[in-house]
Order: sequence, then C-alpha cells, then structure tokens
Amino acid sequence: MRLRLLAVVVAVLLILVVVWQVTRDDDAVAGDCATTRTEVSGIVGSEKEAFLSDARVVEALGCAGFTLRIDADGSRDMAERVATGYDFAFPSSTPTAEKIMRGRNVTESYKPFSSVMVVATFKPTVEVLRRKNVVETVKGRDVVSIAKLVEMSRAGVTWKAINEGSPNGNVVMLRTTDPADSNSAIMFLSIASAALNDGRPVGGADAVPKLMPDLCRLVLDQGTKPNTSGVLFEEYLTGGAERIPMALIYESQFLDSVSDQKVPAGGENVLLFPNPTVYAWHTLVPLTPAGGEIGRLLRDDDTLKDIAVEYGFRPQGRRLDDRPNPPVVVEPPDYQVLEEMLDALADQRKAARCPK
Amino acid sequence: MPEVRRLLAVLSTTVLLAGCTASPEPPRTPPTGPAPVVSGPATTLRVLAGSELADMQPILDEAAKATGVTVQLDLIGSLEGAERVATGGADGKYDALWFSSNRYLETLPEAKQRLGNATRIMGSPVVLGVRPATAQRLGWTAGTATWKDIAAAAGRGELTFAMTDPATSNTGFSALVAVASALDGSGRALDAAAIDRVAAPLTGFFSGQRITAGSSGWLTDAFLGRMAGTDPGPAVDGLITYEASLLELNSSGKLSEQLTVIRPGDGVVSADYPLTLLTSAPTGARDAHERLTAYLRGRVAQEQIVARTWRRPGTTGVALPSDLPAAPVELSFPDTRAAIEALLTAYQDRLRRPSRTVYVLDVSGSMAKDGRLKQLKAALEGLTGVNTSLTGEHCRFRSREEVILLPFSSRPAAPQRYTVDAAAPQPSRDLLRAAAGRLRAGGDTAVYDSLLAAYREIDGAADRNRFASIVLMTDGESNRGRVLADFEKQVRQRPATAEPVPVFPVLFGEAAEGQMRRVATVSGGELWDARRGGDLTKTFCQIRGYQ
Repeated sequence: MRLRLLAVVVAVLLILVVVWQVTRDDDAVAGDCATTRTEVSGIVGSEKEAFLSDARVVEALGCAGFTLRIDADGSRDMAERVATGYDFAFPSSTPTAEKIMRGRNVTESYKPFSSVMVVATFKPTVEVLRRKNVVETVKGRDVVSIAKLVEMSRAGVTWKAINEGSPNGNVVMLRTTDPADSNSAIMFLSIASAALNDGRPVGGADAVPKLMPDLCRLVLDQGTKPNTSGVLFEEYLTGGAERIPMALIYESQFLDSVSDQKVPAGGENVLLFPNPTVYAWHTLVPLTPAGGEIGRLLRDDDTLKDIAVEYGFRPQGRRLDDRPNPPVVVEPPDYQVLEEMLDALADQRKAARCPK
Repeated sequence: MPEVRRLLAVLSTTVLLAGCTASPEPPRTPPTGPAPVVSGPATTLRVLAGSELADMQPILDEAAKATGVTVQLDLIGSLEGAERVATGGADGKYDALWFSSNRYLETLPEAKQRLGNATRIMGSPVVLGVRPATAQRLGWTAGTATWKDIAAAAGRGELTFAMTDPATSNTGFSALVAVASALDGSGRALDAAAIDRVAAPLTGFFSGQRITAGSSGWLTDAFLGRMAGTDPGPAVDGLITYEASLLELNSSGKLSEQLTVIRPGDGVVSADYPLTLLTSAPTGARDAHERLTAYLRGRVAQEQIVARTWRRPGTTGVALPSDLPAAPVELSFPDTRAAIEALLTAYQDRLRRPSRTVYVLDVSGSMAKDGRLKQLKAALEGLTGVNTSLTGEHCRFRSREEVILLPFSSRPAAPQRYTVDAAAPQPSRDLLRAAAGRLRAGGDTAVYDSLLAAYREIDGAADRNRFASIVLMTDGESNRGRVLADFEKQVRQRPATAEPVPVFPVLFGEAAEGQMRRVATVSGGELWDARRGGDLTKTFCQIRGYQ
C-alpha cells in the first residue's frame, strides 16, 4: 500500500516533470535549434544528392545551424573542381577522397556510410547469363562473374548472340560511368582489375600495363558513358532489359526507398553482387571548419543515419540484418595504382585504340 | 510498478525529444522524399540552345509560370554552338546550354571543362522516314529494316535520301555514327581503325544521298519541297532526321502522303537533350537550373513533351503513346575525339559523293570600295585549309571536290577549274588561295549572264555524279546582259529528272535582295546575308554544309 502510494507520488512528480519538459520544449524548439544559419556548400557525388536534399535532412542540418547548398557532380570531376570555394567535398570513395585531401593538404575525413557496388539487371537477363555461366552461385548467392565478362568482352560476344531474339547487337558488357568523371567507374576498375589479378587487389603500378588491354576494352568499347552514377541508374531504369541489360551502380541507388528515382515494384529488376565487389566508402573531406561540422553530424547523428538507411546506404557501425552481405569482397587498390590505370586509359582514349 | 516503468519510458522519450535538436515530434506534414524545389524567385536563365528546341517554347512558358524561371533561348547550330562554348564565347553570356546531345562537346577538352550539371530532359532517335512507295518497293512497310539494309539499298541505287552535313548538324552526325557502327557490327564503339573496315559499304550508303544541308530544318523543307514538286529536282525517297520530326510531319496535315518511319533494328543514336549548366554560371542560375529541370522532368511537363513535341520522355513513369514502339537499342557511340574526327574526315574526303562547287564572284568596280574585294578574298581563303578554328576546319575544300571560280563584271570571265587532289589535298587548296589572291575589281555587273555560265559549266561536265551547287556573291544590281526572267526560264527548261543546282546568293554591299531571293527560291537554294555587320568569311563557311 505504501509502495503503491509512493508510486502514485512518483508518478505525479514525473508527470509534472514531463509537463514542464514539454512546455519548455514548446518554447524552446527555436531555442534548441540554432537561430542563425550558416550557408555551407559542398560538392557531392550525384548518388547522394537526393539524400542530402531530403526535407528531413535539410531540417536537421538547419536545426544544427547550417543551410546546405550542394553541387552534384561526378565524384572524379570533383577532384578538379573542388578548388572553387566549397566547404567540403563528399566523393563516394576513399581513393578520390585521398586525392582531394592530398591536393588540399587536408588530414581529417569522415566516413558516415558506405555502399556496395552492385549489378542492376533484370530477371530475364539473369537467366540468359546463368546459361552462359556469367551468373554463378558463390556461398549460396547468385553473383555476376567479372572474369566471365572479361572473356565475353575479349571474344566480342554480343547480347544478340547469347539471347535469341534480342535486338541488342552490343557486346555483353557491364554498363558503367566514365572513369574520367565518376567514382563508380573507379570502383569498376577496382573490381575488374582484381578479377584479372586472380581475385586480389593489384599490388603495384608496375602490374598495370598487362591488365590494360582488357580494362581498355571494358571501358572504351562502351562508347560514351554517363558522367554520374545517377544518370547511369536512370539509363538503366528507362532503358530496360533490352537496352541496358546490366549496369554497375551503388547498392544504395537500388535500395533507395525514398527518392524519385526508385526501382519499380514488380520484381523485374534484380540486384546481384559482382564477384568480386568493393565497398565504396562515402568520404566527406572538410575544407573549412563548417564543412567538418557537416561531416561530424552525418557520422554521429542517429536521425541522419536512419534517413541514410532509407536511402539505401550502410551507416558506419550499424547492423542491417535485412541486407545480405556480398560473398566476395576486395579492397580497392592503392590510389597510385588507380591513377596509373586512369592515365593509361586517358592515353588510349586519345589514340582511340586499345593495346593488344 | 508497471505504471512507473511506463511513465519513466514516457519521460525519457520526452526528455530525449526535448533535448533533440534535429527531429522533434512526428513532423506535421511528414516530409518524406526530396523537397520539391520547383517554385522560387523570378529569374531569367540565359540558354544557348540547338535550333530544333524552338518547339519547346510553349512548355517553357508553362515552366516559367510554375517555377519563376524564364528561359531566354538563343538558338544556334550544333557545330557553331560547340565552337562558341569551346572558345569561351558562351562564358558570362549564357548560364546553360541545351543541345540535342553533349557527345561532340565532350570530346573537346576546352568545351568539356566548361560543362557543369547536365540533366537529360527527353529523347529522340535519329531514324529514316521513307515515302510509302519506297517502303512498298523495298519491303519496308512494317517499318522494319536495318541500317545494313538501308546502306545496301542505297548502294544498289534503289534508295535516295536527304541527310544533314555530319560536321555541322547533329542529325547527320548521329546518322553517320549509327550507319558506320551498324555496318561494323562488332557491338563495340568505333575505334580509330574501324573506319577502314567499313569504308566500302559506307561509300555505297552515301551514293544515295541527294540533299545535304547545314541544318535539319532546312533539310526537311528541301525534302518536302521536292516531294511536293514546288522545288526543282526529282523527289527523294527518304529523309534522315529525328523520329520526333517525322512524327510531327506525319501529324501536321501538310503531307500528301505519310512517311513510313524506319527505326533501324540494328540500333540507333538518339538525342538526349541534356540541359547543361555552364561552370561559369552564377549561383542564382544554378538554383534556376535546378528548379527548371525539376519541373521539366516532372510528370506534367514530360507528358506535354510527349504530346506536343513527339519526343520520348526522359524519365520513367510516363506512358508512351500507344502507337509508339519501344525505343530501339542504342548503338555504342565513340567518345574518343580521334575516332570521331577520323569518321568526319573520312566522310568529307573519302565517303560522301564529292561536290562540284562554282563560285560566281562579283568583281565589278564597286567591289574596290570599302575593302569589299579584300573581304571576298579573305572569305575564299578561309576555305583553303588555313582556318584552324573548329568551324574553319570543317569548311575547307574537301578532297576530290571540284571548285570552279567564275569571277565576273561586265561579262563572266573564263572559269578556273580546280580539283582537290585526294592524295595531296593541301597543294590544291594552296592553288585556290593563290587564285583568290589574284582577283581584281573593275567594270559592270552581269549577274545573270554569269549565273547561266555557271550552269553551263555544271551541266556540261562529263562526270555528273556530284553534289553541284553555286555560290553567287554580288554587291550590286545586275546592269548588263540577261535579266532575272531569262534565268528563271532557263532553270525551268532543265529536264525534270536532272539533279537541281541550288544557288546560294550572298548579299553584300548594295545587292538586289528581292531578285536574289527569287534566284534562291527557283533554284532550290537559300539566301544568305553578309551585309551590315554580316561576316562574309563566316557565311562562306556556313554555306559549306549545303554543298
């Protein structure tokens, strides 16, 4: 009985505290939110554009005192364009971030979330590719064999040739972005070079020349490529199985449940991991103290992390039980190794000829 | 103490919410998804655009109401636009570009570095429209044929067509790449060596080309003029242009017969109309670009684009008209400058039907004043391979081309005939430059005697399988010899089956505009104006797309 009375007293007290808190909260919404807003500008990979302009993200950052202005760009281009007065750069991989950090003498960076590179394809395409062993099963999971795709590219096998009735006379290839502009294509080079190197990341720049004949074909044979992964994903969605049977995109793009550009319901669109794949770590490089604050908020704020999950990202340190992990993962090679590949590709593109 | 625990839970939630600065309460209207940033302050966006985008004006008017962004469209041809951008001429004057594609621009490093955010708005493949009788004859009534079939039919002499100059216009450029890629058939983007693999069948394809032009609008008019019999010359079987243009024509009620649209089964090259911010654009323009593209990619605008311009939607979720088949597969488009330049050069110097070009040049006494003769010489010299600008490189006299200089004053002088040697083209061009340098002014103006002398040169030539045309440059009224009526009569007397010889009169000084317009009309040519602020060199260069 006394216990019960005590409980009632405690309860009443608690209610009072709650009421006081709530009223205080009502008065203080503006007070807890910053009253002045600093404009912070960032150059970001296009795949994060929708997330960063989400009304809830805008609100959260606004409350923390920031108005965000972003320029979406191919993450690679960013390294060139970052010089022009941004507070931060937010490319989607560590190698590109390293390039920016080196160029701007920045030592810190934030890695709020990652995204795995995946192959966006279609149900009928998977069946066609399975018959040709391009889709194989590893650790109980269907994956796209990059080594097999290299063989197809070497032999010049077309979609038409492996799929009767297909009007697509293009060589069976993964459609990617342009490595000269976009980070996701650098991820592609990481994947393809590892596939050509017995599944291991390429150790040094001296190993690059012997990989170039294949890498060059995989890139140049595609012809014009989208500058950004956002455009590539749209090409895939609008193009359909006949026109764009396979595209290498970020997992986040496929899983994104919020933005306009989403995978339609119906199950025709299929996500497969390539064998091997890489994790792209979205890395924020602060160029001013305000830029650093944005990085810290994105990394530490739980609400922002929740929203990032909705946009398909994998926040650092968060377990996502509904998302399978890729069976075969490699690290991207060192930055210098990738630069070597990019330089070689630039030369080969200039000559419009791949080495034999 | 279940109550206590519950209360503590409530309390802790409340405290958490109160302490949280980011996300208090369930939001009033749940803001899910990206903020629709469509409307905003009234702004003008200055856009340098491809000429075919004039048809977007009504949709842009709607966009202005919804977004506050008024678009000021300045229309320009593809190649000229590319040059303007690459040389920095668009910086500061424009905020954005809107061409049928950025593919060519992206191969020019000086242009590429100026391209900022590019947002694709819509699409249209470059395809072939043929007259029903042709479709019947070739068995293409279902619209199914490949570029290979098309090239073979042209090579056999069973198909004639109109196509723009690939160096100056996007439809011709797209068609050239599409035909070459399809003939190559490797399924890979063309490389620098590919052109040698496909040269023979490509030459066959181009043997069917009867009309060329620097712009697709002009090309379409010329095709229709010949189909209707209002322009001289026999009708041409087909027209290579955007699918959207063909569908628009078919629905316009202007045609006596509907064109059969052939969407080549071996793939197409499409325009994708990226609305592209220039990196030099100010912040306000970036914002305007974002709002405008968000609107244009929205459902309302996309549906209007499909309904009013016959282009295909640029986003998912907009239904195609029921009679529009799914878009054909896109051919890989080479993104290397070397491959593209190799293809364009091969087209000009090896693959296309060679030209026979007569320059009827007024060197009467009046040309001596105001430095007119000097300007004329400079304009001709600009075509002899010394102009290394982007446009200049594409307007030089081509290998195998026959160039006839026919200066006149009181009477036509003796024609000077030059053939650009395919093995050593530059020495031939140097000879032409020297000849231009020798022009002297003096005497009266016998325009029609000279024009008819030019026709005699063309009609009397032994080798007739050439694109023949006349550039008539005059700075005053004809005051000697035959008159306009005589010229018209002579042109009408040419046999109906004869290939027409379009005359491109260039107005200069005190030229007789009305008469010159008539000359252009009756010959199936076009009037050019290089008076008052006009630039004779530029005009001569632009006319090259029609030769």
